[in-house]
Amino acid sequence: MNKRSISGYLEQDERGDTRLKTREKPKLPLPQPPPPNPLAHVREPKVRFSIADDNSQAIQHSGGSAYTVPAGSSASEMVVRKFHDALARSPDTAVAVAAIKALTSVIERSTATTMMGLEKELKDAASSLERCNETAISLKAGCQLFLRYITRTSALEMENFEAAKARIIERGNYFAETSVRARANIAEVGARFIRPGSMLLVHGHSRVVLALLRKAVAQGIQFSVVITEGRPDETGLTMAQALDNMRVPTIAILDSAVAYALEAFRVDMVLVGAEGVVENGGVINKLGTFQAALAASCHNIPFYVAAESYKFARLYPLGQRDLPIERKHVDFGPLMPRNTHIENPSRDYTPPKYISLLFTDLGVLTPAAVSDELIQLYL
Amino acid sequence: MPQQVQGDIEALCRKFRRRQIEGSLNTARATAELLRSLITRKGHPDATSLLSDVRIWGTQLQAAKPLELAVGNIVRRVLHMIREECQNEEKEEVATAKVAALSEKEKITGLLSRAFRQPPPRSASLHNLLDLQHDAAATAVPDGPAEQAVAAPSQHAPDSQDVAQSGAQRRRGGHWEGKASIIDQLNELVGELRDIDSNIALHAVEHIHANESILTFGMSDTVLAFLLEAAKKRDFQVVVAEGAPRYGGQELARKLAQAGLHTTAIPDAAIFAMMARVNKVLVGAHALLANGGVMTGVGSHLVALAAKRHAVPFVVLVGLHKLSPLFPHDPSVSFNDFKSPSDVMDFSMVAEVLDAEESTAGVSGEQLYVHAPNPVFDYVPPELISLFVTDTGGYTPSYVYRLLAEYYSREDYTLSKELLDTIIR
Repeated sequence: MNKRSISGYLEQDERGDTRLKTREKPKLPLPQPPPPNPLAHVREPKVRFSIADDNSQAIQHSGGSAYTVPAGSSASEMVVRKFHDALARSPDTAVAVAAIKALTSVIERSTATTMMGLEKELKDAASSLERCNETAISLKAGCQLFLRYITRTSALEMENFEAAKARIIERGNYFAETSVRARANIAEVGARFIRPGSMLLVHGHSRVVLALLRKAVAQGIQFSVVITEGRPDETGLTMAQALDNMRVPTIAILDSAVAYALEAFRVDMVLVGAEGVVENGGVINKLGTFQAALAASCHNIPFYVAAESYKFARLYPLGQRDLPIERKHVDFGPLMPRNTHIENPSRDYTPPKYISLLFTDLGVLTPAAVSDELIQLYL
Repeated sequence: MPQQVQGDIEALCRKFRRRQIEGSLNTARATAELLRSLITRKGHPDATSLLSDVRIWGTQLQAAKPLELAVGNIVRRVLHMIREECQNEEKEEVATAKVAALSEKEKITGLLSRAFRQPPPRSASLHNLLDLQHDAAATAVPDGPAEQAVAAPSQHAPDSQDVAQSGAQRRRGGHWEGKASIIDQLNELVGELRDIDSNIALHAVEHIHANESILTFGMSDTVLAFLLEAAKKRDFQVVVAEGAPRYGGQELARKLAQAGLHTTAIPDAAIFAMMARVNKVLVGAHALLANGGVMTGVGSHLVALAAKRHAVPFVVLVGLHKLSPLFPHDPSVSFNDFKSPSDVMDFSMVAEVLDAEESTAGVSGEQLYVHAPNPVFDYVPPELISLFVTDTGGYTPSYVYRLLAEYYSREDYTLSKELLDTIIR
């Protein structure tokens, strides 16, 4: 038995029963990943997997769809198409927003006459959405949030099904604005943490972080940024370009120079975005976030995360192995020996103890407060 | 009447500025008492006008003493009371309307289930993410601090969003009816502030055990009351560090010795050496900040680090009037106060330095300076603090965010954009 498949987590289902849910194996067209010892598998092809990844970045959506479209029933195709449409419409659309838009369109076309029926249809649609990219945490979190919202609405307003349905559709369509609002809120609360003359280290590209920095610039705060390159997709350079447009003094460094830069450039705070915020207040984000957090904690530099609250996910990873398995192609050039096995995870998990504070649209939260919010929602 | 109100505020502001009222408890009490008298005297047609008045008064008071976060805390607490009262009224009204609308049959069947159907709380939370944002936009009111800041330069009043925000207001005979309850709550608050040290001291026996040795630093009335309360039931030793350059510790040691406690006074330099021999560190605080860190007497950070090194619990005694929703690096926290340098360096010595300066200035063309800063406060980060003992019980630093949600409304965290600007510039 694969070691990963037994690492499961407790999940509460709709009836309130708790069961141990083992993680579903990703349906990949290629063989399962090898056991941790790469020497045991000498004959591995160099590039083994190349499923697309989302990484919740705007840049990826523009050039070709990052999500695979599963073959399935027409209903599930429809919801997935809606999802892609929403993503393609604007590069600023967050994955969760697109997912909720798609789910709302399901409700609009639904023929169900009861709340239970509607919930069932939605659940199917959500699972087919999640199948597009099993590794996208923000997608999962968005679907979960919306489903939970439906359950709560049906519990609150049982009197009239049509009214409840209309209300849900209205709220769902409104969600995109919610997301923009959330970003503005985060920018407001977070920008106050940037003191004049300070030096920030930013890892990778994040719309929230960019909004926050833009806000600080608009407030007339002068600061400089150290930006990591963000290999292998060079998202850091996109960020650097945006910062350059804002005329913020920026230093670009290699990803491996984080620890060096924290000390050498006298960095005052580290600021990152997040793809997902998990139940214990830890974050899942672009690869390299964890090591930046470790380095920051060694240097006693505050480590801040900016994330919208709809990225709060009901996951409880205990370590890096508990993240959804996902691999991307990376080219190391012709010098790469044939038998050397390549691992290229695209995200990592940063435990809460390395995070000073989270800037969210619910306010500035300590990692402990994230659990509190999630418990309030799902209990 | 308005002149009189303004006069009273000015009088208190003057006292604040002249440092005639010192210490966070005294300032908190003065603020609460003034607000109580102002709210009682001035007529308000509805909650909104009361909110905006309190906000303006509070901003003036806080501006007179920006260092004393307790002023803002009390103001926020009063604002929170008003908001809660408003909400309760709305809730009641909705409930009565609903019951009236129900048919006889429904009245019989659905009462129990209706009782559990509480409307969601108004503060932003994950579970009302969709509702909240929607309601805010439906009324087309620029809500939240983001828009507020964007509009700030041209904004005529900081409370324009408030006016529309608190929704349904009732005007009954020109007076808001919830006011009586607010005044009751204010009376309670004043009473709470009066007994705050004794309420904290109530927890003493839970934290101090027989034959323990307790280290404390400088002078704090709260710590004194706490130790004296514990001494009624327990036999223990107290090690007091003198707390240079104000030497409050010497005063504390004297008071403890007079009360018959086994007291040891040590110089600050001996703290690290003594730390291995004590069971607990107890200190007071000036302010409890939103991240769980504290502003406290200068030198406490050293004590906290020494305690960490020896794994000795570092316990902070703090009344909840000191709980502030601001973060330590917030621009509206003007963090430190500086006292006369004579404590650090005798004026006769300063004179010598100045003489030397004069004689060498002509020669080298450079000025010799001795800086003798004498700061009042230290910031102790949350990771060095084991526990807060407050008037309502013990909390860990990671729980502070819950306390904030309990005592303040998020809308009030920033009292006023203008105040903020005056402090930054």
